[in-house]
Amino acid sequence: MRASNRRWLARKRALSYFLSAFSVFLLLTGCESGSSELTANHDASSAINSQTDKEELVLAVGKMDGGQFDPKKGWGMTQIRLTHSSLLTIDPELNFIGDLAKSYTISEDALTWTFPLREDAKFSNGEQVTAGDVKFTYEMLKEDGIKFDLSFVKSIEATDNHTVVITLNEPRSTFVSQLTEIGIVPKAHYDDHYSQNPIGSGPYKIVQYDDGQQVIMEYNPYWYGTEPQFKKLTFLLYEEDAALAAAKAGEADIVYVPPTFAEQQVEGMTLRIYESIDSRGIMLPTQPSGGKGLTNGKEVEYGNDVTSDLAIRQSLNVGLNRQELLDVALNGYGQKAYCLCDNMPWFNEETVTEDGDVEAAKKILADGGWVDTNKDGIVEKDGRKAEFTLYFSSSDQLRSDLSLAVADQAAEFGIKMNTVGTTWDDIYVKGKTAAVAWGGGRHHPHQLYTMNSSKVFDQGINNMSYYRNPKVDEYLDKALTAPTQEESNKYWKLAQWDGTTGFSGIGDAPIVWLVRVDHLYLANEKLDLGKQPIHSHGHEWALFGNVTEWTWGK
Amino acid sequence: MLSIQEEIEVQGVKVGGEFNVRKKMLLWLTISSGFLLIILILSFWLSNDHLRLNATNKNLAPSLGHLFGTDWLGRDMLTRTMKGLRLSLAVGAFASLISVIIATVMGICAATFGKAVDAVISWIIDLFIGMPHLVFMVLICFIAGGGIHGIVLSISLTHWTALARVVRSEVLQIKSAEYIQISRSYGKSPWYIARKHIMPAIFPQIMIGFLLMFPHVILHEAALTFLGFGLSPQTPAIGIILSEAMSHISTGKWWLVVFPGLLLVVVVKCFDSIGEQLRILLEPASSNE
Repeated sequence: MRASNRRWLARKRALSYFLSAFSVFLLLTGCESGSSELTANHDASSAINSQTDKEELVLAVGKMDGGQFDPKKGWGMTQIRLTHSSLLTIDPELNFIGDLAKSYTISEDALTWTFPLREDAKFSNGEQVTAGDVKFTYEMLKEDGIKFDLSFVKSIEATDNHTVVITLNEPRSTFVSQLTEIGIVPKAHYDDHYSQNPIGSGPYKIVQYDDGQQVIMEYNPYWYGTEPQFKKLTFLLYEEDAALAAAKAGEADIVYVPPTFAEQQVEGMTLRIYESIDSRGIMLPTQPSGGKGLTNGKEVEYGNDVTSDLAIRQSLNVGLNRQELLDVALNGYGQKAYCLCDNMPWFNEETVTEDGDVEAAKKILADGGWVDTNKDGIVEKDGRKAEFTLYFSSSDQLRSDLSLAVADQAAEFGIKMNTVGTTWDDIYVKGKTAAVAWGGGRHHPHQLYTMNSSKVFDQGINNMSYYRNPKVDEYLDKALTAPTQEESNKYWKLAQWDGTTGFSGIGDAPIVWLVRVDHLYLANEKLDLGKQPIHSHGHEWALFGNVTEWTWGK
Repeated sequence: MLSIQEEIEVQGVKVGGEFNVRKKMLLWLTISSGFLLIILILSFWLSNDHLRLNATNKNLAPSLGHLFGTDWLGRDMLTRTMKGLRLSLAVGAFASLISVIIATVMGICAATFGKAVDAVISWIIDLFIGMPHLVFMVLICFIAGGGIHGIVLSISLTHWTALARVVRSEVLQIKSAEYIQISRSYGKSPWYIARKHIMPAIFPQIMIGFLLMFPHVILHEAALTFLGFGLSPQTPAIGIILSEAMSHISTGKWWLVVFPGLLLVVVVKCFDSIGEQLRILLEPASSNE
């Protein structure tokens, strides 16, 4: 009996040692996976470094392959300039200028857009970019209707080989920005397997694409624009810490860094800071619980009984201290945000408020009927505690830090947020019933519409908070169908705040915008990244708008 | 390695006879339990205010003000570690208790309700042992929807098998012992025999099983929280602390990993030592094996 017992105990103990060893092993392999990939690339990059005339760059800027180079899968929602070209493009001052189109003309009624195409534009396989390809691309995306909403387009006509005429059903002020985002694909070579062999008319062509690992691009000799200095770009699709390790090992020329890593000194590299309109805020459901709707086509519940109370949302807008959030979660690398479009031409400056005012927040809550009666530090109304879940993407360090900081501050004026880090898939299912750390910010105002108009309920991930305000809807519609930029900007501003209502924080606050994130990169000190426009959402994309202008100093 | 050292010490003591084995064991016991007690007291005594986010006290290396340093959001690591260990201890105690209850019930049932039940239970035990622990726990935790209750459930449901086997064989052995036969022939009821004869006989086994399960459970709790599983990131759990620190190791913030990791190992070792010493105290004869 004792012998068996003894053996059991010995085994038990051996097991516990084995387990401690195993957990250490787990920790180690966790660190290891990044560096083993690094060593695999070591030979290639040391060869690069030894060259005197630098023609190759190694970049670790995150998962830059979202959309897999296919506009139908979402390539172009943020940045396409490396591999594709579009009818129009934007310059560093955010003006719309011709790209594939030499210029463009809009008819008086803003319904007919005419684009004379460049005649020297060729795809990376040497074939001419024709009006037929443009027509094909736009019609394909219009029919698909998922990634790009082109439902307002009546017809796309190729009047000759080098002229495209697009006719609209109604004026659409944001169409011009879509023209910069839709990369033209070749009609003759486009099929469902386009991602495996993407052919575009951008400065680079893809020579190797290992899904989730790396992308290798080479200069497209048929490129019609300025010849870039760097003929080969290797993108390592690393996470943030692996990217930093690659930089420290001297194996990458540009890496993206989160604010928590910004203080890192890496020999031969300097920190590049770019202001962005990449905004972060807290999305708050505006409807009471119990609704049923769709997110990305899946049936989900929506609504939250706490956040649907206006006082809760407004108190967060006033009570949260944006500067402190910047200091805590972003190491100060960012700007305060009050709307999705701060400092853009369509931004309404009246929405800027005094924030960090805990007393004012408490007063708004008290006026709304939220009082802490049982002295537990959380305010109540009709027996319901001001407590709700705040979801954030757990793979996103910045959002998780920001969420913790927001929850920490909100507790000061009696709102309890339970932060839960999870996957985006999970957030899309549960997110409409709770707060979500949300993000956005583009070079155009269309997101103001998709995030706040009641007409886009249940479409994709639009208007997650189910916000509905007839007045705001009216302004948004007017802004969208305005014939000129100036007029549309007027209505975008009114939709944010017209003196009595609006979707901004001082209005209905369906999303309390908090900070704009500076985009940070560690780049080789010899590398000149040219004049960068203000960056848009998407750390991994924003950099490449002017890739052909980059130079290597001696 | 440590266990070999201990063995040598115990033997040395026996041969030399200069130390009192019992006293030495008691000393070990006191140190281990004292240490655990200090952690528990600290975890209640340290204020939650130290967990507030703080822009001025970010990324401080260990100092007198912050013995374990602070993390990238300015939270005091000593407080986080202590509260994390408290969670580990609580989860450990609770999950071990449930495991022991399952093990006892299963073990006694297997031994007393005849061949068919024995076969079924033995098959279940084999099944559970056959599955890789961690994978099985991840699975159960996922099905239970994560969170603390998922972790407790998954650990409880996977750790009872070995103890159940011991209980089963003990009960089988005791059942055929003479005094049980005599008791039965005196007309004592099966319930009386179970209560008065079997339970007292297997109680030390259960007690030691409980204590030795503790370190095991705590390590698994750390492993599961390390992998996430529905715990919110401000929950100070040792696994969460370690996994969060992972991305900051590359920036040289060693104190985020070293102290919590070290304390976890020490706590586990403490329980192991308490269980071991108690086993020897309760079964003095086995120390001579």
